[in-house]
Parts: sequence; C-alpha cells; structure tokens
Amino acid sequence: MSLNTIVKSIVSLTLVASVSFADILTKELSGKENSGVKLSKAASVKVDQYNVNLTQVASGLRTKKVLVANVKVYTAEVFVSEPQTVVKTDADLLASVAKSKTAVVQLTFLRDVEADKVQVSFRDALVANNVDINSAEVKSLFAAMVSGGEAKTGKTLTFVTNKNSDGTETLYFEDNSGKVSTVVGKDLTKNIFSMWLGIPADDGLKSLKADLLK
Amino acid sequence: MKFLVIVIALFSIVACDKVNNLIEVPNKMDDLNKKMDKMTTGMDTTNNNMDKMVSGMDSTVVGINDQRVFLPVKELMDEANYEKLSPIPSQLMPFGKKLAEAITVNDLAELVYLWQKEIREVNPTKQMDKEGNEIAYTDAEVNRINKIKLGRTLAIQTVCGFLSDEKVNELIVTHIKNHSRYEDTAYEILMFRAQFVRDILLKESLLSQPLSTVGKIHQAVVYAQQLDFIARLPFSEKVAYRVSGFLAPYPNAIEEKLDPKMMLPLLKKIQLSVQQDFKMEQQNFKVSSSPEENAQNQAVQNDIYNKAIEQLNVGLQYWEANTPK
Repeated sequence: MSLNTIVKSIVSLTLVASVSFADILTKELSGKENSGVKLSKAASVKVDQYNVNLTQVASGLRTKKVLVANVKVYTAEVFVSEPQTVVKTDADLLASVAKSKTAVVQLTFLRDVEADKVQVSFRDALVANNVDINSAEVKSLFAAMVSGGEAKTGKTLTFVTNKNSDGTETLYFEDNSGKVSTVVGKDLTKNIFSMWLGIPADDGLKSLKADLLK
Repeated sequence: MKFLVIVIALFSIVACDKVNNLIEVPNKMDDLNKKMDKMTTGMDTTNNNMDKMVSGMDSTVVGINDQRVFLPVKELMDEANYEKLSPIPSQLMPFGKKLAEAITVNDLAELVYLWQKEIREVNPTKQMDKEGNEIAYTDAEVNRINKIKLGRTLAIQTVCGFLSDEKVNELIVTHIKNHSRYEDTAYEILMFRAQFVRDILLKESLLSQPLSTVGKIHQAVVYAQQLDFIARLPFSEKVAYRVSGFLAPYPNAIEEKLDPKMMLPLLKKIQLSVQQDFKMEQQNFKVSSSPEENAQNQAVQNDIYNKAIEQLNVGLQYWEANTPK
C-alpha cells in the first residue's frame, strides 16, 4: 500500500463515518402534496445528541426535460432552524439558508435513478456553482452516495448540515436505506446546497428553484 | 415510393380505426363495410407486390428494401409500442434504428411530412347525440388520442436520430440545397435528429453515467460531432420543428429550435467526465493470452482515445470562440 493510499484512507475514515440506520428526520405533515409526495410543515433532527426543531421553508419539483416530456425526478423540501433568516430572492436564498445553524434538504424520488446517474447529476450542479468537486468533502459525499445504491421511487435522500463551534460544519447524509454518513468541512451548506439553491445547472433545476422561491 | 405511400395509408387507416374504436358505433353494417374496404385494400397491395415480383431483378431489390421499410414502419405505428414513451421511447428505438438504416432520404422526407400532417389534422370522428350534435371527447379519449400523436412524434424522432451521417448529407443536398418541395421538412428532420442525439443518446445515456472507457468516450465525441455539424450549418437558425394538433389540456404544439449555445456546455461536460472518470491505467487491455496482441490492443485503444480527445479539444476551441453571447 503506497503512502498516498494510506493518507487517503485516513482522510476518508476521518471524514466519513457511518453513524446510524434510522430516519434522520422526524416530520410533521402539512396536509399539502406535491406530485403525490406529502409535504411537511416542520421537522426535527437529532444532531450532537440534541433534537433540533426545524421549519419547512420551501418545496419544489425537480423535473428533467427529455425530448418533449418533462420527466418528474424528485420533490425537494428545505428545512431550517432559523426560518426568519431565509430570504426568498434568487440571489439571497442560498446564503440566507446557510446562515441557519441547522439546515436540511430532503429529496423524495418519484422514479428510480441509478446511483452513478445521481452522482453525475449532482456533480454537474456543483460544477455550475464553482464548487471544487475534487475536494475531500465532495469526494466523501459522492462515495457515500454511490455506496448507498440507486435512488428508489418513494425513498428519500436527506442532507443535514449543522454548524460546529470550531467554525466547521458537519454534513449528515442519509441514503435511501436509512444509512447516515457524516462529512466534516467548511462552508458545507453553502457548497452542497448550492445544487438546489444556487445557480441552476439545467432548466429542471431552474424550475425547481423557482418553486423554492415561492 | 408508391409502395411506401400505400403502406403508410394502410397503417394510417388501421391506426385511425384503433382510435375510432374508442367511440363505439353500434352499426354492424359500417363495421362490415370497413372490413370489406380493408380486404380490398389488402388485395390491391398483394396484387402490387405480385406485380413487382414478376417485373425483374430491380423490382425484387425494391421489394426487399420495401420489406425492410415496411416492418419497422408497422411497429413504429403500433400503439402497443407507445406504452413506454418516457423518459426514453425505449420500445420505438429498435424499430427507429432499423427504419433509419433502410429508408431513403426522399422517402423519409415524405414520411415525416405525412406523419406530421396526420398528427396535426387527423382526429377520430366524434359521436353524435340524438339531435346530431357532436359529443366532446371524454378525458380518456383525449388522453389516448394525445398518446398516439405523441408516440408518432417520437417515432419520427427516433428515425431521424439514428440516420447515418451520409443520409444527413444527402438530405441537405437533396432537399435544402436544391430547395425541394420538402425543404421545410428537412429543417425539421435536422432538429428532430439534434434533439434525439442530444437528449437520448448523449444526456440520458452516455453522459448520465461516468465516461469510464475508451468506447464510451469515443461514442460521446461521435455524437457531439453530429450535433456540432448541425450547429455549424450556415442555415442553422432555420433548424427547428413544430408539431401541432394535440388536444387540450396538452399544449397544442410542441416546438423546438436549435440553440448553438448548447454545444459548449455539452463539450465541457464530456471533458469533465473524461477528466474525472477515465483512467487509462485502469483499462483492461488483457484481451488475449498473447502479450503482443494485448500490446497491439492497447496501442489501438490509445489511438482511439487520443483522436477522440483531439476532436473534443477542436470542438471546445471552436465553441469557446464562437458561442453566441
């Protein structure tokens, strides 16, 4: 094993650790639906041994235009711990969500999508937002996504970010089997959530962002 | 061509009947008449085929060619193949490819024109009430009519998408440079092709997953070059289609116009995937027990890879400099 491989393994072990196999988010339904998905008005998430109460501040539908049809891919819901900080303008949405101590994006899939297709799609979205896709944090997240397998219809992918006292953030990623992986780094909300709240990488994400701004 | 027209007419009749079956007309005489009509048409077709068989070698060749056209046309018009149209028209694609290989450029232009006309203008006869007033289609009927129109549109698209480069060149010379009666249809064929190559063959297939092998990279660049060719045509601003005739609540028309601005992000996406997902050292070149053969295989693959990257870079340079602001 080369030194480079050993270093990579250590970094990877530090950044990603499987912590649980349970629903990370406990949701309170709003009675509203989007494409058959029951939306929430609030939720709670357990981070650092504490339950954090969250408010749902936005929801929308991610579609993808293929030939003449707009194919429904997933619904997205955004939750934050400080809803009063959220500014629903195109330029400010991402930065304002990133101000919250805890923020969540949950995707509920409306069709099966293979793991590497999800990864390629997320990669395009990160590139559109000038996020370094070769950073250790992004690589760790992608590794967790690929190991989680394909996104299944009706199942969720959940991204929770929480600010730590040392200025870093922890990203908890729950795959569709309920396995949670964690990544620690800087500006994770701003970087990872840019996929949905930042510069849209395609027309489907543009339409989703328009929904989220409503 | 006459044969193709007969085939299309025959299947249009059958397809119209399928739609008409939605509306139950309890008139057995009408049904019988329809069956008689079909039988007579069928007899005519058989006689035509018989005539062709006895008229020498040329006709036999035409007959074989027609059969290669006949079968995929039949499948492309079969409503049963419209069950899975989204996200990709998977049931139509094998027949679209077969037809693209078999059909002549002139026949394709006529076929696309006729199918578009059918989508635009043909709807099943509405039922009448006791006073002779038309009864509006039910929601189920509207859905089915729209599904057939959408299926026919995607059938056109698959054929255009799978055309060879040679046929595309011939189409341009015959119908655009010579300003034939099907010039407008030829612009539409180019748009159908561009959209199919971009959305299905590239975005939904090759580029939706990592470009991890030489073969995937090579094919992605080939498709990108097909798009590049259309985007650089001096008349690219005329490359567009409009398919109308859908019933509410569908939008009445589906439209698409070629946007040369698509090229740069597409080429950059290929470049990104090559940089991120392809490792030459991870490729399998041990394809035989002979080291010499393996070395030769590696050299060939290296050559294919290098040429693809060179072509990709040429495209990137061009569109970096020429992408409309």
